[in-house]
Amino acid sequence: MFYRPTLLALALTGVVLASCGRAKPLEITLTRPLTESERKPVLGATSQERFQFAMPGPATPQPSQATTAGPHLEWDVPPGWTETPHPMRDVSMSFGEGGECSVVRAGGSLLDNVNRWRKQMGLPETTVEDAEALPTRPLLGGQAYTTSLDGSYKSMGAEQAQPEYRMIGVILPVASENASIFVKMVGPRKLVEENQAAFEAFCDSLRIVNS
Amino acid sequence: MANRKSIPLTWENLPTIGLTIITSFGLAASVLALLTLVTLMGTLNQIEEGLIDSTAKYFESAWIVDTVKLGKVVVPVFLPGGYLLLTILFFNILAGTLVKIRKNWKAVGLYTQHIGILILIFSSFVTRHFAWEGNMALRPGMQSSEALHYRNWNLEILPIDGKSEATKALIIPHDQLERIGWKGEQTFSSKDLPFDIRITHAARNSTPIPVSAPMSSQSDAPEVDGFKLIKLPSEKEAERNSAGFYADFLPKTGGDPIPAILWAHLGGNFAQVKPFTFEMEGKKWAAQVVRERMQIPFTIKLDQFLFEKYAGIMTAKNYQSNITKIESGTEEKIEVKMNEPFRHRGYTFFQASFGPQGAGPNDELYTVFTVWKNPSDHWPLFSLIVTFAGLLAHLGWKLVEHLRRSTRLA
Repeated sequence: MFYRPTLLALALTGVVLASCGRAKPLEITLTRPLTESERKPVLGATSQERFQFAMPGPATPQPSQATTAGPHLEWDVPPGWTETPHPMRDVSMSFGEGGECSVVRAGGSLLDNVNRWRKQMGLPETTVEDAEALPTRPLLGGQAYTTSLDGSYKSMGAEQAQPEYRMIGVILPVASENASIFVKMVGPRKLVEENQAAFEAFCDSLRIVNS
Repeated sequence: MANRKSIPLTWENLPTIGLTIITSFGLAASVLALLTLVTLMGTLNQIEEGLIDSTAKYFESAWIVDTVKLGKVVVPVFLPGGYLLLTILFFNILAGTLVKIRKNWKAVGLYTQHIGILILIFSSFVTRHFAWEGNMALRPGMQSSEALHYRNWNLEILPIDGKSEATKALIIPHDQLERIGWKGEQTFSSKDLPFDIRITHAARNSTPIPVSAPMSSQSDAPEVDGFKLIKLPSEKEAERNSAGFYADFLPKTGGDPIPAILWAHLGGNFAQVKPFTFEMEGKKWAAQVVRERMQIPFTIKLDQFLFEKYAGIMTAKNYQSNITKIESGTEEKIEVKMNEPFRHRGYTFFQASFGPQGAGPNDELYTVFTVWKNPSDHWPLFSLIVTFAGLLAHLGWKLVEHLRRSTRLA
């Protein structure tokens, strides 16, 4: 019977094509009782409130000084520096040829973050003891760790490291948020040296304002 | 030199050829050599991709399809994965033990050693498929009977009653969500829901971003309420990944779907979840992305957390949790210390860490236990004891044989 293989092939092709289509709905079979603390969920949160931890601030372009209702960050822009809003940062500024300064909030331990910066500068990792022995400076009413790193800077996603760079970082752990505030200045070493005083003034100007 | 026997390749000889291959030392040597290579590559890969992704790619996979950078040259890699190699090794040792070792009491040591190694390989299989690892964070006075998975995020739908409360959650598990991927699509349905849920743009790690931000143009996900979801590369420490999905809630009676971005935020151990809320069929519903939970058949209450640090510096010298285990109406006081976990009914509680980070002298500290459930928890130790006993028996017998021979010669 010559036609049988042809029919078989057609049938198989049909089965294959059918299986390539949209997946069938899956039945939800798992449930769990909610614990006492989960039984009153926060209802009616806006997208902005739900995504607050990811994206502080409103879903519209950030003004030069945040004017969000409630507690928010304010700062003074040092002379000669330009604000360059960035979606992942609370504050983002640039200065000179290749200098930049940012403020972000994120999780992770002090050691993890110091070592992340050291890696960006092409430096070996440090120990928890050395990280916790870093000098401190006042920031936003708390004591923040400070570190100054010289090396070849490779930013996230960059192909090539840039030699003769300096990074100055300030880390303020915030116990209530289980996170830290990071202030970072990075750029060619000479440029960073020239802007050290402006950076200190910027850190001193950071404040949390209720409005 | 003795001639090696060759078996003609015929249909009748296939079982014999198969048995010869599966019991051969050559196969064992090849598998062990490949395992060494895979272990080396998988270990080095952790620098780039972290522990979890490297383990999945190199040790839990059937095949490894990857590239390795040697200087400026990118070399494609195609190798059998750790899972496949260990499966082959298991059957190689099992068949070799049954077929090749002589069947007399002198070989008891050899049998025992091989059984020990088989237990070790089988325990890794049980761990891969049945172990569960999460954490439990407790403030003093708090009690809990559940642990949260470190990496797995589930999507939960909560029916809200007239008092704005919910008593149960319908769960779409993480593995079903992860299978969808960024380009895929999957609809979920339940007889208890007046709507279906269509999920697309599923990412293991993601962040919502305002559409006004320049980065939002990189995402092909639909815009909802001024936001788009952006897929991010997996974090090296997989517990830092924030899963995210685009969802359409489709009324079963027809009508417009309700779109939403559903996203898991890593707000810390006691962060309040803010679910997406919507109304359908005259009733309120909430959808939240939360960590997979494991129910524990007893309750742990934190009575006191003790923290001692070295003088003058912040480094922890010792910390321990004084807990009460509550089970079937009886209470038992237990101390969990840094290297002294608490084990009960197959669950192990390790004193993992404490918080909050950067706490001052007057801040209340909380404890964090790693909760580990592994049916094969002690099997590796047991397998080593069995293997050691086998080696001892075999070497002991060889020594006795040697001494007898020496006595005869004398």
